[in-house]
Amino acid sequence: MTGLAALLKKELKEQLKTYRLLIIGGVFLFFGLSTPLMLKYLPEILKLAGEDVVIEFPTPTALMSLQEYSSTLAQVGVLIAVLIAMGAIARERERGTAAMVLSKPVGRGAFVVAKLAAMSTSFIIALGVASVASYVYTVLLFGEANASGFLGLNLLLALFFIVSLSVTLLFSSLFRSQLAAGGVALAILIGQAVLSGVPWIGDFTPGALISWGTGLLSGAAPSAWTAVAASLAIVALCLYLARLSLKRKEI
Amino acid sequence: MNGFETIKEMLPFLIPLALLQIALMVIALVDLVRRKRVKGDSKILWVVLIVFINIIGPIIYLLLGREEE
Repeated sequence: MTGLAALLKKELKEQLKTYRLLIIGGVFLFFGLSTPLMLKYLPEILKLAGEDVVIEFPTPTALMSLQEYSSTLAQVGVLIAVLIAMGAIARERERGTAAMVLSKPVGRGAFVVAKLAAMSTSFIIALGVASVASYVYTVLLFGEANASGFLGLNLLLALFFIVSLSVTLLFSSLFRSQLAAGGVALAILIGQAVLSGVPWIGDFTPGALISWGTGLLSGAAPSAWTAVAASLAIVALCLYLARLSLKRKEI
Repeated sequence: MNGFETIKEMLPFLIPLALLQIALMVIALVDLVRRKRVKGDSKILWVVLIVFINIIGPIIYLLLGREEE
């Protein structure tokens, strides 16, 4: 792990310079603000637009607002994670900057870890800002909401995003083409979401983090520590394999 | 509740969303002006995309449109 601190500093600066933080934050904040707003006013707007059409909507609640926000974010977040991470290594190799960085006394492990840590930092900041905004809107529009459950949900969401990033990062180190890396990573991440519905096997998929999280909100949550352990193992494995693949390659 | 009241009630909540959209738009446009080359080589096309497609336009430009110098 030689040179980790220096690399991390460089990667974090890059996150700002390439607008990564702004992109993730902008998208997350948009959903954070618009979800409670839509839930509250869409029925009324539709009522104004339609003349005699009567559509019965269930009365929206704070719980519904936070649940809808988090399930939207889980889906959108995976997409952004793949878009952001797919080029992280593939593009640097294509442009030759990876060779430049790795010719200095830095380890390949540190190179990979710094990239994941910097991208994860952007995601965590964006998630934090958007979730606080969404919570404030929800409370203003619907009243009391489950704060501790929402906090737990956000921690699980953050882990889920880190898993998505690390899987994509691994393929970014394996493939020369960033589109190929993104495609394969997305297929795997969608695949695990499908698997998360299967009994027993599902308990070991990162997707189970999300169902635990949304369960925390309503208060009836079977905990999914197996999924947390499996997710941490996946992150470690992806980092290890990405380092291995960089070691074996001509950069 | 009539339409006017609904809109009046919504308005304060819409301001932060509008600010977010404007901020993204301005940042994307400033970057576009400063950049020598962009993907697709047509800056005008990017301006149209950034200005007329809410939220998504600036995001797509910042994510995919910039060409490294």
